[in-house]
This record gives sequence, C-alpha cells and structure tokens, in this order.
Amino acid sequence: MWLLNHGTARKFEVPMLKRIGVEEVFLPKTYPADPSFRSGSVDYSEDQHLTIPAADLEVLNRADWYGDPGVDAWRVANEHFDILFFILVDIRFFKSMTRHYRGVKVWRTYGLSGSDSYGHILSNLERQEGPSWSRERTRHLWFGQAYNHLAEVEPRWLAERAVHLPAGLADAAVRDQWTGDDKRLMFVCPDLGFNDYYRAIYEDFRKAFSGLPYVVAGAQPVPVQDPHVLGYVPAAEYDVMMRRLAVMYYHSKEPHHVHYHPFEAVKAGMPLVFMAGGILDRFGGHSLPGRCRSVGEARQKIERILGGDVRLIEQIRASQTRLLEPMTVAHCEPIWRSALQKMLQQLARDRAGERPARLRKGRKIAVILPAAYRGGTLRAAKLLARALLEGSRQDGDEATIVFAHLDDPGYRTDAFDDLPPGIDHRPFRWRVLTIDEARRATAYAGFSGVLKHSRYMVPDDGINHLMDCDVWVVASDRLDHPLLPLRPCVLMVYDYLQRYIPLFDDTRGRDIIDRALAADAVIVTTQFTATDAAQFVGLPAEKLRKLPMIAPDFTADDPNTETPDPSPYFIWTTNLADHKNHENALEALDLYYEEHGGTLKCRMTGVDTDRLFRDDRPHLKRAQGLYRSSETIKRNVEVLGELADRAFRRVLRRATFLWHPARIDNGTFSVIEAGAMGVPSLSSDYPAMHEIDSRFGLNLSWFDPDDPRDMAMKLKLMEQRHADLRRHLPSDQLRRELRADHVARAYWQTVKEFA
Amino acid sequence: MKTFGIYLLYPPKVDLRAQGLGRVLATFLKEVASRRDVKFVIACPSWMRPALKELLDQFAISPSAFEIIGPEDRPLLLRLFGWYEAYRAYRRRSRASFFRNSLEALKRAAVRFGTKAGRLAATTRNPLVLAGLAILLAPFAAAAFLVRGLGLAIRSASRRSRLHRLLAGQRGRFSALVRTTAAAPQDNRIALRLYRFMEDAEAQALNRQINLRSDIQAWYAPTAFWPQFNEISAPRLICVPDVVLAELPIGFALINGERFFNTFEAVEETIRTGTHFVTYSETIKYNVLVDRYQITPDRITIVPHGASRMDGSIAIAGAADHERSVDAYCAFLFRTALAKDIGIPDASRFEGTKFIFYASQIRPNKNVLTLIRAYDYLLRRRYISQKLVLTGNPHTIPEIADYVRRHDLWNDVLFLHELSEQELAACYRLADLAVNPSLSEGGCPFTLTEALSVGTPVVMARIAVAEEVVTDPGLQDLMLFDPYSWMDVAKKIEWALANKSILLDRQMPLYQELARRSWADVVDDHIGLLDKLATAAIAEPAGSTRPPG
Repeated sequence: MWLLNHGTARKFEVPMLKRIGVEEVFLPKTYPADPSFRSGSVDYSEDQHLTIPAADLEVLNRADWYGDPGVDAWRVANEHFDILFFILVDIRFFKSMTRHYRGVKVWRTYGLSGSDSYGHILSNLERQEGPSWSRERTRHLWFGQAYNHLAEVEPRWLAERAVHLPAGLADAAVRDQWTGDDKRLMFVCPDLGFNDYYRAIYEDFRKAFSGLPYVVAGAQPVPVQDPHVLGYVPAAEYDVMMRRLAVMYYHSKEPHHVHYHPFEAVKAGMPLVFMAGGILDRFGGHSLPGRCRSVGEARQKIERILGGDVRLIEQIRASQTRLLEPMTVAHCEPIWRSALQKMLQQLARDRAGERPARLRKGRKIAVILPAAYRGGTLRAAKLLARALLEGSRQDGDEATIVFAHLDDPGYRTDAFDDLPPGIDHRPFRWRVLTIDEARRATAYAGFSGVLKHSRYMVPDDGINHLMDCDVWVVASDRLDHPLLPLRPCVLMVYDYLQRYIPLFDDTRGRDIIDRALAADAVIVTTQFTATDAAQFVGLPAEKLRKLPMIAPDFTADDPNTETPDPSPYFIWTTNLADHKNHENALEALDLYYEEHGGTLKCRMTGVDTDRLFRDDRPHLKRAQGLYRSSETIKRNVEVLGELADRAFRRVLRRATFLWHPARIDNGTFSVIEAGAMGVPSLSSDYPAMHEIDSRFGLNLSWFDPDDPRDMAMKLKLMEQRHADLRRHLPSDQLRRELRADHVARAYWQTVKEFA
Repeated sequence: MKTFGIYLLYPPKVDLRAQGLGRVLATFLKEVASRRDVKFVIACPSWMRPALKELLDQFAISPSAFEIIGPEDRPLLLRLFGWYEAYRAYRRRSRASFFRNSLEALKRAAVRFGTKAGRLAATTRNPLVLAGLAILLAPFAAAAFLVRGLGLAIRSASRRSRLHRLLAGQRGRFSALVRTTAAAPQDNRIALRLYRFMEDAEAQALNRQINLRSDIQAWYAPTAFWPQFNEISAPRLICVPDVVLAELPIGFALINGERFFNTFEAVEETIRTGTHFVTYSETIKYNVLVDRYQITPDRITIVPHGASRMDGSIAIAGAADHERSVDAYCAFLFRTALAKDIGIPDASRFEGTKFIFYASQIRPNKNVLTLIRAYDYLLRRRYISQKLVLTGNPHTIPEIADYVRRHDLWNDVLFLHELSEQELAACYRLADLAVNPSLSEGGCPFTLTEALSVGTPVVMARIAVAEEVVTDPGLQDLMLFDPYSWMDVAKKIEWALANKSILLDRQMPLYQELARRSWADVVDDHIGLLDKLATAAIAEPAGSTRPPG
C-alpha cells in the first residue's frame, strides 16, 4: 500500500516497487483538502491489477489514509498487504495504524527544513494526547528516508529504524532542447499566498536579484498580486519555459530537503545556478561550476549567463548532469531491493517464530468510576461495564472487565455485589505524579515523546495501577489532572451542563475540556451531548462516538409485571446538584397545592436528598428558604432520602406518576423505569429527555422548567389525566426491549477498537 | 580446551551475596568451576574483585578455578571515597570511645556531687554547713554563669553577622551534601555522574584487555545492565532475566528516582545493541524481547533455571532421627530470624508460631499489598490463626508499611529482613504454606521448588512464567490464583491451608520432575550456546554478527 498522493514521487516509486518484486500496489483515493497538498493527485490505474475482492477494494478506496481509516480498512490491509508506505499529517492515522496494522510500516520521509525533525513533528502532533510512539506498538515500523542522512537529526528511537529508500526520477535521462533565448531568470517558489516559509524565501530572492529580469514558477493556490509570479502553469507551457528561459536559480541550502525542479532543469539542459550547503552538494560534490557559496556569487554567475557568457553556460551544462546520477532508476533499484528485502525478511522471521498459544492473553478492560459517585452515575457506570461484558461475549471475545471504583468509605460493603461474574471490582485511589515520575513511568512503559503537563494522575489500585487492563474506560470527564497516557483512554461523557449552568471556575472548566480532547475517544449517548462535544469542546468528529443509551434492565431482578392501583402521591427523583432546579420545583409545588388545590403528596428520593433542606451549598439556599416559609410544602413533601433499588421500585410502582423537574442534563433513567412499570412521567422539556422519549416511546408529558406556573399547572393536569396516560404506556414492549440488550455490542466494538 | 569469558561490571559497594542475581551467578560459577572440558575467564572492574572473592568464598568455590582479568588498581576517586568512609568510621568509633566516655564520666561525677550537696543542703540543721556549701559552690556557679553569658553574647553577635550566616549556611549545605553522598552515593546525581565517568573508563580498560584475548572464543554477560559488553569484538551472549520496570512502569517510577531510570536506560541500550540473548522463559523471550525490543525470535534462546533447592541448607549429617534434628535446627534458625523483624522489637516470642511464608524483596512487582489484603481478610473474617511472614523491608514502599500500620497488623505480619540462606530455608521448612503473588518474574518463581524441596506446599500467582512450568490444568487450578484479586488469593490460601497434604501430594511429582534439571544442565546449555556462537563466528567472520533491527 503506497499511501501517498504525491504525483512526482508516485511516478518513480510505484514502478520501482514493481521492479523489485512487489506484485500489487494499492493507491489511496482521497487526500486532505489542504493547499499544501499542491502536488497531490489520485491515481486509479493500479486498481485493475489488484486481485483482492471488489468489496475489500471498495473498503480501502473509501478509507481516509491520512486520518483514521477505521478497523474495517485495517482488516482488509492485514489480510492482503505486507507493507505500507505512509506520510504523517495526523496523529490519528499513526495511532490507528500502530494499533491495528501488523505488516511492515514505512514512514516515507523526504526531509524537512532547517534542523526540524520527524521526531519533533510527531511530538507536536501528539501534544494534546501524550506520547504515542512505543517500541511495542511500532513493531515493523521503519523510517524510510529518501536521503541517507535524514536520520542524523532524528531522536534515537526513530533513527534506529532508518532504512534508505532513495528518492528518484522515473526518467532521469537528459533531453537537451534548451535554447535559452528568453533572457530571464527562472525561480520556483510555491504557496506564496499563505506559506511564510516560502514567502521569506521569495523576499530574500527579490532583494538579492533586484534589477534582473525573472519569473517565478510554482503553484499558487492562493493568488498573488505580483507580475513576476506566474502561478500554475500547464505542463506544455512549463516545458517551453524550461527550454527557453536562460537560467534557473535554486536557493536552498537546506541540508535535508531538496525540490524536484532543479533536477527538471538539469534534465532539460537549462543551466542551474544553486547554493552550496544543500543536498545537491551530496549529489554533485563541491566542484560544479553552477555551485555558489554566496548569493553575491550566484548573482554574478547569473548576470554572466544572462549576458551570454557561453563558456560559463557550457561549463555548467556539461557538468551538472552529475546531479541526476543518484536519482536514476539504475542507481536506486539495488538500494530499494535490499531495503525491502531487509524489512520483509524481518517480518517473515517474526511470523515464523509465532509465540506459544498460552502467551496470548484475552482482553481486559477497566471501567473507571473516577469519583465516589452513587445513585444514577454509579448505576450508569455499572451498566457500561455490563454492556462491555455482554458485548464482548456476543462478539466471541470473552473480555474480562474490571470495575474500578474509589476506595471510599461511602460505599456500602455490598455496593458492588450486583456486578455479574466476569466483572471484577477493584478499589483504587487517584495518585498524582510529578513530571519526573510521569516521565520515568512513560519511559518504562516503552513510550518515547514529550509530556505536556506538569502533573499527571494514575489510578493506584495497590497492584499495578490498572496496567493489566488494555483500555481505560473512564465513566466521567471530571478528572482533576490529565491521565498519564499509558493506556488508550475512552471517556464516557454524559453531558456538558457547564455550557448551560455555571458550574466551574475557568481553570476547572478548561481542564474538563482538555480531558475530552486528550482521550482517544469520547462516548456520548444523546445527540444533544454530541452537539455540545463538537460545538462547546471542539472535539474532532472522529473521536466522538454516539452510542445508544444503555437502559437498566429492571426486569432481571424485578419480574413483577403487575401495576397496582396508584397511591395518592407522585415521586420526585433528584439529588443536590444545581441543575436539579429545586427552587422552581418547590415554587411549583407551592402553587400546585395552594392555587390548583393539588391533592397528591410529593415523595422526594435520591442521593443525599435527606440533606436537601439543611445542606450549606449556596445554590440550595433559596430552595431552603422556600421550604422554611411554606407550611404547605412541609405538609405535602415527604423526603425519603436515598433508597436501595428494590425499595425505590416499590415506591415507584405505587406512584401516580413520576416528576422530573431538572433544568437540563443527559436525561434520567427513572422515566424509563417508571414506563416499564406502567407509571407515566411528567418531565422538564429539554432535548435529552425528548431523545429518551423518542427512543423508548414513553409518551412523556412536558413542562417548562423555568416557569413554576406551568410546572404547577402540568402537575394538576397529571393528577387528572394519569389514568388515561397509563393506558398509553408501552410497558410490555419496553420490558421486552430492555431485556433484549440491543446495545451492548456497539459499546464493545467501540472499546475493542482500542484494545 | 575451549575458553569462554564471563563479563561482570557491577558498581562498587555491591554485595553480590545479597543479590538474587548474585546467588544465581554463584550457582552458575560453582558448576562451571567443576568442569574440566572448558575454561572460564572472569572479566571484572577493579572494585569488584573483593566482592567477587567474597562470593566465591561463601559458595566454597576455589578462586583458582577462574582466571580473573581486568584493571587491578581502583580509580583514585574511589580510593579517596574509601578513605573518607574509613575516616568517618574511625571518627564515629573515636568519638564514642573518648569524648563520649569522658563526658559521661564527668556528668556522672557532677550528678553524684550535686545529689550529695543537695541532700546535705536540704537536710542540714547547721547554718555553718549551709554557708560552707554556698562558699564552696559559688566559684562554680559564677564560672558557669560567666561562661554561659559570654557564650550567649558571642553567639548573638556572630548571628548578626551576614558573613557568619553565609558561612554557616554554606557549611551546612556542604556538610549535608557530603554526608548524604557518603551515606548513599547511588542516590546522588553528582556522585552518580562521577560514577558513570569512572565506570566508562574502567569498562574501556576492561574491554581493551578482553579484546586482546583472542584465545577466549565467546563472552557471556549474566545480566543486561552493561551496554559496554557489546563493545567486545568476540561473539557475545547476554542473559536478559527480565525487564521488570517495563511491566510495572508506574510502580517503579515512584521509587528510587533517577537511579533506576539510569539502570533502565542501560538495560535498554544493552538489549538494543546486543546480538544474541538468553532468557529463562518463553514469556520474557516473546513478551519482552520480541514484542517490546523487536528482537527476532531466532536470536533468543530459552535456558530455564535449574531447580533452586533449600533442603541442602538445613541438612543435618549423621543424626539418628534426621527429620527431628532438622526440625530442631530449623526452630533454632527461626528464632534468630525472628529477631530480625522490622516491625516489633520482641518478635522472638513467636518462635513456635504457625505462619504463611513469602520470601521476597519489597518491590512493585512482588504484589505484597495484595497478599497483605488477602491475609487481613483471612485473619479477621475467616479467622485463620497463622501469621504472615515476609522477608522484605516494608518501608521500601511506604504504602505497605502504611497499610500494616493502619490495619494494626504489626503483630501478625512479620518482616524478617536480611535472612541468611539457612534462616530462609528454615522459614520455608516451618511454614504451613509458601505463597508467591508476584505479578512479573523472569522465570517460574524459585518459591515453587524451594518450598517443595523442604516439604512445604505452595500457592502462586497465575502468571505466564508459572504456567510455563505448571502445565497440568488440574494442578494449575489447585495452586494458581489471580494475582489481581485479593479475594482469589485469600480463597486459594484458605483452601491450601485446609488441604495441605492433598496439595503437597499433587505437587511433589512436579517437584521430582523439576528437580531433575540441575545447574550442571544449565551450564551445559550455556556452554553449548557459547560454543555455537564461536563456531558461527569462525564460519562468518567479524562484522556480520549483528543482524539488522
């Protein structure tokens, strides 16, 4: 697989691969819509020679070989191809490739400007997420350098993978039709409209050669207002220029990169005046007459050529063909052959020495609950763990799931007894590492690269910091410090409440955004949160995985399908969080009883609700004031506190309806649970609840959570209409759907991608 | 006769006898020394000669069995350091013997005199006696008052001086630096850097001598700590016991700072530049060398350990009732071992105690906390009566000492530190059960054969190196546990304690089989390998021994 779209390189390298024994070559069909890909083009011509199934070719042709091609594309690649060549523009490709592709991987490098290195480029690309280069992951990855000395400026971990695959020209023969009758200087300098590097080169050129007649070739995707700059020139016209223009000047003293156009000039017989110190010195030595040690010397030679100094012109033309020698097929072929042989031999030796079966271990996934959550978040995290276990079984993978929770005295001893066999629960504490500790841990784990932060966090289970697990699935983004990136991290994000309700200070808010950006993938369960992830966080679409909400299967331990006659109360599920909208809810209750003559009692339940009217959190103060001043509320609202699941269901089953007055969040399972028991729900009108309503067909009733009068009125309506609503609840169908566990596989496949 | 070399480049002050690798090396050398068909030369730096001699002495290996090459004179810096250490020891001794004794004597006399004078003053009824006492004591009181007053004045004045403050600060810092560097030079960055210079110079001198010895056909390094080994031009074989830091990266990052990091870098460099490798297990071959370091499998040979046995260390010759004699001897050894407990001063009172035993240093991979958690549960929820006896220092990983303290376990979890070989054997023999919860080892833990050799059953972690040796699935289920689940560890221990003889009966056939592999076999395998490399090098001349990648 030659996963580049560079037209000139393709003309040489694909035929070269064929010459040295590669039978079939796949070429990518898309490339980034980036002006810097000015030499990019798509070539379908190799498809006809591929013997792979058409469906597989279709998968490859659809894949993005510069971003994340996806597991299916890697499956096809592994099945049919032994070696791939790539260039690196996006860290997602690198991570995806090193995770999934088992063949030889050649990072095709043509050199960079100045002292920049590919190691540095990799570090920059991975800066957000942390080091991604590890020896283990980069097995059979080679640094395929186009010039033999490129690795000299690379870090050792990259340089030790160097293999020389020389850049060349498909046709290096000299076709001397040069006349030189157009007495102008030719200079090639692309991308002047947007590329500062080339812009500076052009400015230097203008200063050095002012007063001389010149033209500037090179593609200009962004137009430039300069009469000398020609912009894109069709091939035929370019050939004419090569024949007629008097001389080409090549400015580059870059020791690690050379352009193709000086060689094109040499091929055309045009005199080439070039600066010493660049790669051309390695090709032609130090004695070529066109070589100049200073810009002044270059100007002098160019003036002589423009002035018709035939002797100098002929000296240059006669000697400069030496520059083409290292670019010829004859020169490059044995080098390519030997390099390919070396890479494939190592692959073959490795494949032959297959490891004993007992060393192949099954996948192990950690589901990490990062804070001492109870209630809905704990329940959701357990559901996630169950889904991964069930999904892996459905996929025939039989993964082990470790449910990691904080070693917190707030958890009852039986808090995790409901986890099924196959899910181990493990207590842990967060441990913060200094940068030195983090650096050492990263190196010990085999990673090379730069750590961005000064502090990192790791889960300390007293054993091996969950390093026995292949992936860390973190069931919330509320992490105080970045996770040390030693394992792929999949983050479960339920909502971005902070976009709607001020929850954090700037630093904390930014930290939470950073956690999502640093994750390998972010799972969300509603379109509303998916939109927030893109719009509020700026999360790349490829990282975002929107999966169906996992609903708890209440039917497993609650086989009772009977719905008793409702008792005269409704149930309000809440906790102490700000977004639960206590103030409006209490005001609405007061109106419901006082103005609408409401007759149903309100039973409030949820984590810490027994402290709702005495807790000292500022956002509760107004609600507490309302409670203290209203005898009606005191008389009618009964606080049940946190109930065990069974007790909660007993209360819910007998309720007239369920009331969910939160202002905004990711939705609540309670309405699903209520629906399955034949109890209707009255909910705040916000997007996530509509998604739940739509997915589970709950026929929810709605109110405006910002309008206590509307809330009170709807409470009264529910009191009057609940019997009718009960008849329209799809309880039996809902129970069947919950039992069917449709979504587990989707969760497993998302996580498996990183395992 | 063929000649091979063994390369050692341990740093100064390493007591090989106290190192696990040192003991393996000694066992290896002992076998090598008895060979008549092959000769071994040991190359080591100047500072290692005494340590090597001590190791050979302890294992009763004749020094004449080996030719030792390498620089003989220690570097000057090291000698200076040695002198400084000797001086400090002398000062400690002389202070104790002169100043402290004199001061103590003076204090005792003053106290005696003061007591008598006080008693007389308090009990006399004669004012003349009291006046006489006052006159007698007045000069002393005045002198004391003057001296103290003068001292305070001088100190106060000099404290005001900036120069004094500067000098005092610098002196304090300098002396603190000298003191800490002298106490633990390996933990000091400057000392470490100086040591690296010294080590490089010594290694260069060593390698010069080695490369002059064309009679030595191939070289063997028993560990991968020394990248300098790869500068030897003759064929080379490196043993990679494990790269445990890679298996528990966070745990090791938290202890021993840059020192471990430097060693780790040296190991990686040694592997990166090495040509041929030996491991003790398939696990290290594939999971570490092939997967992590991209060494092709054909360059790695597995040479499993010989059986490590403890029975020889407590054998009693010529006793009428051998078993009883051994028991009595072990009881004696156990008493002395108990005196080495780190947690409580009077552990010797537990001499007849029943216990579970885990012989190990305290390292992140040893999984000690999981074992203690399991034990805590067994003691307080399942009411087993045994103690848990460990052999490491719990303060090496503060969380372990902290757990024992928070759970008030100092009386039941004993840490018998720095046991001798005989004491270790006695612990194995007297234990009800040996346990090994280690998460990562280079080969099957020695616990297996060490415990069984003295008739004690074993339960161990289900890790790949254990499964390489314990291959019978039925036996695996009986004796292996999930080391990541303290509950599973507890369940297995509880079952094993209740079914000791069943477990032992099932394990003994495995032990008999493992015991057949002796260290002579191990040496044979190594000689075979070295010979093969030497032969290949003759067929394929120098420069081609290092494959790509």
